[in-house]
Amino acid sequence: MTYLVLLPEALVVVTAVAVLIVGRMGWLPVLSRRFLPLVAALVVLVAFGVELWAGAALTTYFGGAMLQDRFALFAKAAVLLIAAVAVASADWPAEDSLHLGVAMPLLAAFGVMVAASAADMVGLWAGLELAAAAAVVLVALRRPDLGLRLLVVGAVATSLVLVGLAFLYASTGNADLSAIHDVLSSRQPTLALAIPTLLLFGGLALRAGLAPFHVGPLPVGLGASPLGAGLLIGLVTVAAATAGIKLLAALTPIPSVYAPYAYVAAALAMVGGGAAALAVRSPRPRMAYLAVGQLGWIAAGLATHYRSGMAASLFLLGASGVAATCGPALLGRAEAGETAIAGLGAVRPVRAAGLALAVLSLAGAPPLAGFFGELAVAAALAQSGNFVLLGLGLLGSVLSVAAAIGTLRVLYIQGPIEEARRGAAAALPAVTALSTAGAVVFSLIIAGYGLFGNPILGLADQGAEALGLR
Amino acid sequence: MFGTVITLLLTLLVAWGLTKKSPYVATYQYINLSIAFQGPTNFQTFAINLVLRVDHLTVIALLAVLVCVFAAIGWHQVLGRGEPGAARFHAVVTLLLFACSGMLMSQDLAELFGFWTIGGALTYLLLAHRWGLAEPARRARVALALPFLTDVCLLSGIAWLYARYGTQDLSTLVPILHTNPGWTVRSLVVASVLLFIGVGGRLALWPFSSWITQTATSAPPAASAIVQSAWSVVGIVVLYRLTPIFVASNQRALQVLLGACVVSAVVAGLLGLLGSEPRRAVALAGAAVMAIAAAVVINGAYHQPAAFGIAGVAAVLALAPARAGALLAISTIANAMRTDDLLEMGDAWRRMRASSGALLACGAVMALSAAGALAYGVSSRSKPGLALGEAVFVVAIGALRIYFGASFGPLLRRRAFDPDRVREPGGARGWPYWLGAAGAALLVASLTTGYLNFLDGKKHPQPALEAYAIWAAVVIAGFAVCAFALMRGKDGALGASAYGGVWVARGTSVLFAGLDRFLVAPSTDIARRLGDWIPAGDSALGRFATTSGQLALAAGRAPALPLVVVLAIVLAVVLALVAPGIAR
Amino acid sequence: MTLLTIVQASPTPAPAPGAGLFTSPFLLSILIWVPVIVAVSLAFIPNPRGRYDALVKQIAFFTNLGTLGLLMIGYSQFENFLPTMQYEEKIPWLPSIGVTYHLGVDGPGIAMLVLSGFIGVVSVLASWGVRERVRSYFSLLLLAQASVTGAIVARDMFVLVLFWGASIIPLALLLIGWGGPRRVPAAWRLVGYWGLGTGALAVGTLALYSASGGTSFDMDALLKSALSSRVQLGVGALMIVAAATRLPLFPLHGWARDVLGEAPPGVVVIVASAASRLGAFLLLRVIVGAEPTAAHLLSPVLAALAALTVGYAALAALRSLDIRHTGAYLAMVPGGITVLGLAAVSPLGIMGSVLSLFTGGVAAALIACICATVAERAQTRSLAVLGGLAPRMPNATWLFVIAALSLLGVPLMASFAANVMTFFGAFKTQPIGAFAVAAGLAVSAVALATVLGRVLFGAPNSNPAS
Repeated sequence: MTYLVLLPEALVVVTAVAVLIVGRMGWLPVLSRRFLPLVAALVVLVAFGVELWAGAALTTYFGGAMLQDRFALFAKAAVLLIAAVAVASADWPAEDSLHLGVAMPLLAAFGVMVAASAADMVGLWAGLELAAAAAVVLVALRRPDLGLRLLVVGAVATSLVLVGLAFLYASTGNADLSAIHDVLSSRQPTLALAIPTLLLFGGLALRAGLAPFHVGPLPVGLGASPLGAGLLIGLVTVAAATAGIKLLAALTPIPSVYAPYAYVAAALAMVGGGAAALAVRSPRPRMAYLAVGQLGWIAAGLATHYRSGMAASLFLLGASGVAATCGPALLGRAEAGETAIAGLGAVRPVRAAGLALAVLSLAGAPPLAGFFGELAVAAALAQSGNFVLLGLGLLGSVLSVAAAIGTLRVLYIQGPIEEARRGAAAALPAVTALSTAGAVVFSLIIAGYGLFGNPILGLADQGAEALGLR
Repeated sequence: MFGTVITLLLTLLVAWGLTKKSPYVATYQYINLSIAFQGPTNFQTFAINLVLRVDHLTVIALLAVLVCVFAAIGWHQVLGRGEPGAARFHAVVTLLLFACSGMLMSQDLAELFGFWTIGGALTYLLLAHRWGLAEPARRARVALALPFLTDVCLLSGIAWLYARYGTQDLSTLVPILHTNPGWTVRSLVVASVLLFIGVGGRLALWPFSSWITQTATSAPPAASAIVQSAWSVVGIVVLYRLTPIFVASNQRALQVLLGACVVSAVVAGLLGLLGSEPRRAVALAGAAVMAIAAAVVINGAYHQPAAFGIAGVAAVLALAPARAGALLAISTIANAMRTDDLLEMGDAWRRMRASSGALLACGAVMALSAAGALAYGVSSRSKPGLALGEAVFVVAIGALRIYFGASFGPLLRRRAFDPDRVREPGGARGWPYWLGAAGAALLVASLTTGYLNFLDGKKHPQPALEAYAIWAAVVIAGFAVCAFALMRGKDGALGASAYGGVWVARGTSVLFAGLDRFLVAPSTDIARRLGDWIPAGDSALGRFATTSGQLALAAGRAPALPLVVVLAIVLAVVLALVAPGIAR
Repeated sequence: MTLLTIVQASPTPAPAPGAGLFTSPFLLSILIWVPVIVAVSLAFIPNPRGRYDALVKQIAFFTNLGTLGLLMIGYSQFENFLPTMQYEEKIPWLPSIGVTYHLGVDGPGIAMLVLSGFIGVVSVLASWGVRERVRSYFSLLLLAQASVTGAIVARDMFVLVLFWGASIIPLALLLIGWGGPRRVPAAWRLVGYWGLGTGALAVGTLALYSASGGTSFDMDALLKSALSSRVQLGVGALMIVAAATRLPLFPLHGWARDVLGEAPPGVVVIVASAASRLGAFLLLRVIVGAEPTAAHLLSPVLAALAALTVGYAALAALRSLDIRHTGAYLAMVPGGITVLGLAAVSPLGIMGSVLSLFTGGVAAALIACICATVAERAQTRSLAVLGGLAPRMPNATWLFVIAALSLLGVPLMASFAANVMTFFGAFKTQPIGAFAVAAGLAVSAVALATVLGRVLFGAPNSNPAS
């Protein structure tokens, strides 16, 4: 029973590796192409079920290197669901490689799971890097130049994180997160501790794409394949945020020194993301900037240093991760500006519904997942007395909703362009039973996230409590 | 049919009311709400009751209104055949009659205001009857705006009283005017002024008379006649019923109100002498007599509470039919002579004797009704008396000026007009006569104390004969002066009037232009500009948001890689410097 | 002196209509969610080449009619004079942050619900002429209707914010998709102003939440907690901003002219009536009902806003050359009167204000909708061109006249009682504001007379080319 908790990781990594090898060796029969995403999605769903069933037990593994607590349960369940839905709803003919397209999201999910369960710095870093590496691979498939750029940016981020972790280790004499927390909780913040923290979170912010550091990953995501973009904007951000949350909890009270700066960054992200989303017309950049805006809310919640803020950020992270990962996947190959999605509601109703819900959720429009998450964070901000940031966040949300309405207008009000005038970049996404099912499941998740918010938020709260926050 | 039924019912009501010795009161709950469970008991419930009080005053007033309406409709049947919307006209008149009955019978101020508003709306519809023409529609808007503003004052006064006393039923309000907690003399003064302005607007006391003078020529004559006569009666009765509130304020307030009535009477009378539009002159003469009557009502309350105020009411009851009759008679003449200019009229005494005679009779009644009221209510030696005497004098001149102007002198041939074809229209000539006769009868009655006693149920001593004589002499003097002036040189006299009228018209148009330029246009212009600026501001905000977004996008296109590399180098250097062992 | 009093006989006690026919502990949820479910279902009904357009319209109509019927049954069973909420539904939703799915109605709430239900049916009927993308149109219409209903019955501030904000998106899409030539700027204005209002509402709610301990969003807890004057004032100011963007009140009225001027008639009906009245409803609930200090301190502000709104609307309507803009401006007048009653902070004023929520909503919807209809039928909006339409449009003429009379609160109209109670109540505490509103109403009368005279009863335009 104890080791059943590791089954989800095992399933995911084995599936990913198997698909990689089989695909690399060319052992994939042509007919199996139709079933590979379905099999992968099913496996991940099984892993999700096992995680929910068995993951509630609080245990440690591998001599304490891996920890299963409520936080890990939340994070792993969320990322498994994200991966399953992304794989199911992706527009596979638009992807450059089937086996890599299936394997990389699974690997990235595995990376997040490792980071979520990590009890020490090494595991944290390893999980983060795995997720990032998966994204580099997928991006480089289509655009090697962008892959290289992402690799360099990622390297800088990694170096910042590593330097920070190294300094922390040097300062505390421990790599174990709970031991670090025990050491630091009785100390006052000092320069020697503050600077590594700054480097650490700077690196994580660069990874996650938090404004103004979104200049690193975001342009890369705009040029990647649909799933690649989703991976970069969604799963990698979730990985970085997961690592960041664990470190925040472990390094308390040092990160609170940077709370004002975090607030500024959050405000910049919320308002800037919304404004940028309003300024662009093309759907993928719009989704990307909406995701940046929602990341600002997550950062704001984390910066409150209240447990409720952390829980709210986790809650929002789940919603944001789903929408940011699956949104570009649903968009599929229709990425050449507004004309590509004009009238999609008439010709691809289920995909269009999913796309609409993704955009609205990222904008924080009621009554969808993003709205509940943002309001939960707003409640935490109110409790901490940060009404200025709250006001700016709501301003950003208004701009985001306006941008989302612009996309909905194109989807449902404008008529579709004629088939003969559609170029390759404006081709309609493929319709398969799996993609339709994926889109339906995605829509149900986004619509029902708030409806069934109690268990989810409860789990997030338990997760925050499990990190030792009060 | 509906109108016939209403008229019949009201006639029966009048007949029945005349037989009753004491007032009949019927109460019907319209609204009765509990609104609070604590605080002063007066304010714990809100009730509007339909309290219908039928006393002798109500009945006679109703009779006067009925007579006026009946005659005007009869006249309209013949000479108003060319007017559009006959069914609409009759429907509105019937409803106005209904509203007037409601106003006359109302004891509850909120109920009164309800009927008052209905009457006001119907009045506008009557005066704006000729929808299809631009000029009548424009003039009718004054008849809507000005009285509505005074109606707002009436509403404010009623609401002010309610706010202080928690009741709007006159029977319960008057006894507690000085006893309720929270009352002050100031609040009563404010209420009195507001109520007076509200009623004065509908009485068309100068300076609120423009709504009847502006529409005197643009509205159908029967409509003007009905409106002027009906509102005269209703307004004066309501004013009379509100005098206990005025009395409860203070003497100074009453003096001011009295002064306002006196000024209004004098100015309206003088204005009636200027200009050559006969219908406007009739309207102004009537407005002057109304002001005199209002002064009598208030003076009666000022000196001896409500003693002779009823004389003013009685005067108006006589004035109303005469006013309507004068309007219809001059309209008949104007119609036949196809002109609204006294300078172009003439010889009506020979060609249209019936209408001309009716005009004379009605004019005389108008002037004498004022004298009758003054005989009871105002001393000729007092300052108001002197001023009112001048007003009566001027009214008398004005009333007869119209008669002389229309009835004598040559009727000149004009383009497309043959004087030989001017003759009395059959079927319509009797109505102004009947109105004159009714007015005369009521005038004679108003000179007897028995009639006044009948009206208000109180005992009134008979004024001295001298008083009658003095005031009648003033009127006769006015007649004489007018006759002399016009018989000696009709053209000169009327020309002078016309010349004065031109200046008055210029002054009025300057005033209206000034009002329009400095009040109406700037207000509406501000509203229009705001209506443009606000969307422009919104658009600017939207552009700002879009520009901010584009800036954010541009920032995203910044050369990230070099920046990040530089940042990493800087941080590495900083770290190296602060690392232990390097810096102390 | 004889006195005869005619007193209406008390009716003998009889079972309320509908008792035993239908009763449900989830009546309010049914009223909200049935239209949502139908809307979502409609969105996915295949409708090749508009073959099922008529069916879609009928489904929407009978959905709204059915919910109105249920509402009427609920209304007949509603117990007057009960100080507590009725038809309450309370389910813990997000207990960790204190959110409950709490619905309920009291007197003002049931009045608003009846308005909303009635308007829902009317909006569908007013939309019967829609020919393009019928399915999407009626889906969005039902969603808008449901969000307004939800905001009315919400007893948890989080739920209120949710439904308050949820109405923006379907209305904006309806405007963009089916509106007039300037629909896109109008939609952005709607999003901007209503977004600002939603933001203000959210900040105010969260401030209340924070000040009352941060444990619950339930109105029973939030609005009954003892708050300092400063907090009350701050929250009150934010709620005024939220309400002013909805009603609308000057100077946050910038959306009204364009939205009511460009939206299709069915959308105009919803926006001008139930959706707008939510602003006054919010003021009633949060400021007048729960923050006595703020209510008294802010009442001059509310009275001033009411006076400015009515005055500005009347003057702007007088100068407008576009019939739809005129209707839009005039539709602002009832909102000002409602706020005046709230500014009075007296029992009579508040009672008048509650009554005017219903009557004003109907009057505003009627005037805006009839102006839209006349413009549509006459195929022009210019008052310089329209003229003498009464003989050719007798039904529209009657409706226009009734709309004008109800807007002015002429006796025999429902709004008369509301206006009288509002003015009488307001004169006690805000006499200047009440006088100014009454004067503004007089100017509105002139504006209405001008429009009626020119468009309907005047001479027909002899130069159609102009």
